[in-house]
Amino acid sequence: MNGLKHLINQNTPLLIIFLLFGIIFLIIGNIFYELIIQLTIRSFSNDFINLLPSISITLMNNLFSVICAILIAFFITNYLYKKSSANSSFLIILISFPHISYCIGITYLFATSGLFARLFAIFYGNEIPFTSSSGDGLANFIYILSLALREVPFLVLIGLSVWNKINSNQIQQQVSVLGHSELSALMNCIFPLWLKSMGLPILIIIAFSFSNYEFSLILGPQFPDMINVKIIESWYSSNRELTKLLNSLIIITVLISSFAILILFYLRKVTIIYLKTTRLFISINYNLYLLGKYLVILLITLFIVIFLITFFLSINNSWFFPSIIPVTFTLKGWTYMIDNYAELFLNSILISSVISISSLILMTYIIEISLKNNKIFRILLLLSFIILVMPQNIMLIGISGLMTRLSIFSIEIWFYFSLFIYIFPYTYFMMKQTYEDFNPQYIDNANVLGISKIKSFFYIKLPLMINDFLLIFGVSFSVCFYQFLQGIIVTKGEKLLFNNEVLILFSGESINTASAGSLLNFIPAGLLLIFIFIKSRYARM
Amino acid sequence: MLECNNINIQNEKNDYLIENQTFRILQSEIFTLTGASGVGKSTLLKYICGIKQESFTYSGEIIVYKNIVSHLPTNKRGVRMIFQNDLLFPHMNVIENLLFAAPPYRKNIKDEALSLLNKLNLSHLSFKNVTMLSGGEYSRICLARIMINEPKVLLVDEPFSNLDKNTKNITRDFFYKNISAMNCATLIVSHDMEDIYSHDKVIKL
Amino acid sequence: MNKPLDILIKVCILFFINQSLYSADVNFHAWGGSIMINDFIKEVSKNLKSKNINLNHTKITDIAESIKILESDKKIGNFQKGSVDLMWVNGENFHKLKKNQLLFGPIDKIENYKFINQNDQSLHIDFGEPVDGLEVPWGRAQFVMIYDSMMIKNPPQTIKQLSDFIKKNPGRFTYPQIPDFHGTTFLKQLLYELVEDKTILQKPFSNCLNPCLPIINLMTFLKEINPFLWNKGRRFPKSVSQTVPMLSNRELWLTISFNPNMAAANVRSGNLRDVTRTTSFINGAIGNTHYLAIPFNSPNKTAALEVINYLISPKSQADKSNIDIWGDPTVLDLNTMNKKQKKLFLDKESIHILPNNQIPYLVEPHYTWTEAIENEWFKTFN
Repeated sequence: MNGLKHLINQNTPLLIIFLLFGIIFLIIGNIFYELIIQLTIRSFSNDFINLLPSISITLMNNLFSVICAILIAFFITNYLYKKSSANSSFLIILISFPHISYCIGITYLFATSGLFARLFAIFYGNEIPFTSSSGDGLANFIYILSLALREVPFLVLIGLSVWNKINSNQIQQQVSVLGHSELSALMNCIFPLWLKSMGLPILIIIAFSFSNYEFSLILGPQFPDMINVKIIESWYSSNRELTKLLNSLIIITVLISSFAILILFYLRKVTIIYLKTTRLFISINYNLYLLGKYLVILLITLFIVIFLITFFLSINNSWFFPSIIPVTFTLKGWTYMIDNYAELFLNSILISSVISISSLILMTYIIEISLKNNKIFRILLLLSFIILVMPQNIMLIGISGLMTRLSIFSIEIWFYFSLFIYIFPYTYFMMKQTYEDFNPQYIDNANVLGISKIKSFFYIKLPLMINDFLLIFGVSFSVCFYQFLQGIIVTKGEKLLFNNEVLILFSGESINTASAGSLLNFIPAGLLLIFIFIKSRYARM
Repeated sequence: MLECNNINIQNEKNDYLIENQTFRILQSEIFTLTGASGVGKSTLLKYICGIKQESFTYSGEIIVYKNIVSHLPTNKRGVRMIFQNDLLFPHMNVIENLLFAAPPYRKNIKDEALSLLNKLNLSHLSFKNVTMLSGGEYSRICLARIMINEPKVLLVDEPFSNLDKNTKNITRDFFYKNISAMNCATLIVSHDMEDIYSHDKVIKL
Repeated sequence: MNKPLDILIKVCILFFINQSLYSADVNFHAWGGSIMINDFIKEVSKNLKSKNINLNHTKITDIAESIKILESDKKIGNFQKGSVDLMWVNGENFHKLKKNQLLFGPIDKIENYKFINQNDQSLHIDFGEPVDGLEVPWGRAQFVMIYDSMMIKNPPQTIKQLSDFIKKNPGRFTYPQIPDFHGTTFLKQLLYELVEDKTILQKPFSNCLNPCLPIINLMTFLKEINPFLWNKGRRFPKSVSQTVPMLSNRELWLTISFNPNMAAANVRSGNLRDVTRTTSFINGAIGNTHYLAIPFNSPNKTAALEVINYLISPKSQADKSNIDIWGDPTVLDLNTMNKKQKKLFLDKESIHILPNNQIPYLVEPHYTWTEAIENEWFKTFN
């Protein structure tokens, strides 16, 4: 009984959050402590100057890709919202599509001997690819476009829910009856309001862009020379100069990602101010609906093509330039993956499920117990913000260092913790939306009928929120399942997820096995999210 | 001048909400549209504006200053409207709402907007966040926004329905005083008989 | 019945049951990027079951991960319960491991060590660092170049021919980004071609005069060919593996490798075209050995030694060198074997690879040259 009393004590959730804060600060403290011992201002400034080209490329590319993603997502959201009969379930599938498969597809589209080059060869008649003379411009463009389009489905999914709350139909009518154009309603009113509410999703994607590694690994030689890559290279290197560089790279990554966030939010502010005062659009009758439509078609086509490419790669026996489709087929890649990695695959599903459910339960518990405490959401926001702002690779380097100092926990515990802490902000963000959308009147009605808090949670709240909870679980699961940096930086190969093995295979020659693995990766998250989505649609009907 | 000829509106069951309505409102005239709740007053107003409900069937001619506008989109009809739940743009403050609403051909209108607010005794609200306005202040700013838009034809849909009695009286007087001064063809929807006494004509549905 | 005999029989039975129940886990940290190698280790693991050893192949991206584990173990004082029992290492990493005393040894007192070629110094000196029994040779590597014979009729075999080829066919050759192991080895190979007195490379880099002429000549050569490389030398692939699809698609016509049998294995698996062939520098190509080592804190050292013993047995080495299995050359001296054992090493011929021992081995330069070359390359090209 005492235990239960402690559990429902309002201070317990605060203690948990306090503990999490403590660990995060220890991690950050550990990073800076290591840096202070090993780094000097002189060596840092030398490294900074030498890395200036990479820094500017990283900053510019990531900024542009996020800005492109926001704009594309806005037009697509506009189209999908208006065309209410449009099935937006395809977004779930696109979000659950593995990064690795996506990157493989992009590589094979744009490579000098890739799909576009092969299509061109049909018309031009060249049997061998032209020599690669793609400069930085093209490499950067490919990176910006591919990363932007990768983020769009996520932004659109959140954006649609935000759009619903804006009262956009009435705004449209209101602006029309003032004699201003539809474009004016969109650009002067809806876009600023939408942008204002998209702060957290934007933060998520900009943080991801500074820590992603798979894009570089798989995009390969076409990939621009970015800081994200140099960190991992330094991590692996035995070259002393590169090892020393790691410390400078950590600070540089934190600085440029923070700088990028500040720039983005400043740009957002300036954009909103400009749009609400400009009268540029009020007489322009251009309809952006079609633009949204074409972008949706482009997005879906791209993902389908990428899926097909990855699929063909996984079953090809030999697929040389200039063949559009493989000449001979084999399933050896698939059978190899299933024979050798089935156990790890299932284990990864189990780990991801347990971590996601734990995160969901913990978040629900914290919110439920502290519902009367208005500040709980702000505290959780602060914690999530700190976790998100710090690039994942830096956070994990910190965890790895702390692990060495605090050897009281096993490597497994740190591994699970590093996964948990990564999905924590996603869980918080979606949970917050769910609780905000929930009508408290239901609980008030239950209270006046004398129903206890616990009973009203399990019999009223939970059934009403179950679809949202399932979706939160689904998204957290897929985020967790696709992780791999933990297996590199925290456990150093001792404890892995399935995705790690797929990445290791990419460092070898057997692209067809690696491609099979990456598609296998898709199955659990994809099926789960589709199931959740169908269930929620039936529930609504 | 606003002319509506043979307006018919049928709902999804093909019942007539509005049947064969014809009327003409000249410049400076103020008409009141009355009827029981749910009879189709707001629907008629929205149709004149160009806002249609998907499941309804509409027919009839709308003429604004001798131009047939029935086929035109809302923003090109030259018809302005204050909704029952009129919406100020929440991301703009009071003055920004007014500046945005000014007609396209007007430039450098900030002084004018401030002067209008001053004239309406609302200057103390100029830079206030619209979400912080009281009910009465909100309604008056909605009117100020329409005024700066210089409407030739104005439709007003029960603008006081959400206000308490005291605020309603103050706001109503404010409205009619300023609408009269605008010299535009006005059609006001109201089910409150007190609103009707000073108006030119009543259209009963 | 005879009571003492009874007891003896029962004790023997118990002993054998105990033996059969006893099994040791050996965590073998080795690169997991190659299907062929993974399959080979899997097969070894099956064969070791009869010795009651569970060989677990921990597939890693880079041995640096394992080294970090050991460094952190040492830091926290974990001297008994390490998670790594056996490692597949090469030169630069061995040097780090030895310097920081992270290895257990000597481990060369095992039975099958007698088959290792004792006279071949390249097996006992790793990147200029004496092995001192801290690691056991496992396989050999030698620098080769793989090319598409439809595109190249006369493959380059000297540095001059290579330079001519690169300039006549711009964009058809490249090397992996430094400090990738293969990329650095390619530079060392070029250094051998350019230097007059090759013995200077066996001495520490600090012995080279300042400025160091061999390095200057190497950089000059690289700067000369750079504009004619793939992507005009603006960008380099991260590894040799990334060049394989480029070669198969004829984006590149020539690439490098450290596995003399790579062409045959990749043609067999469909990764390369049938017209792929192998060449190398006729004056000599850098030969390199890769090794097996046991960390200082492995809790299963005995079992790990057994695994090493098995891996350097004639049977296992023959399987490993079979181009249909892995194709990694053996470290064993065939002259130490009997007829039956020698027969296991029947050379499988293949048009895709060079015949065994055709190209003279050049010993790796002293390890200090590696960092010097890499740093100079960074300064010039990065």
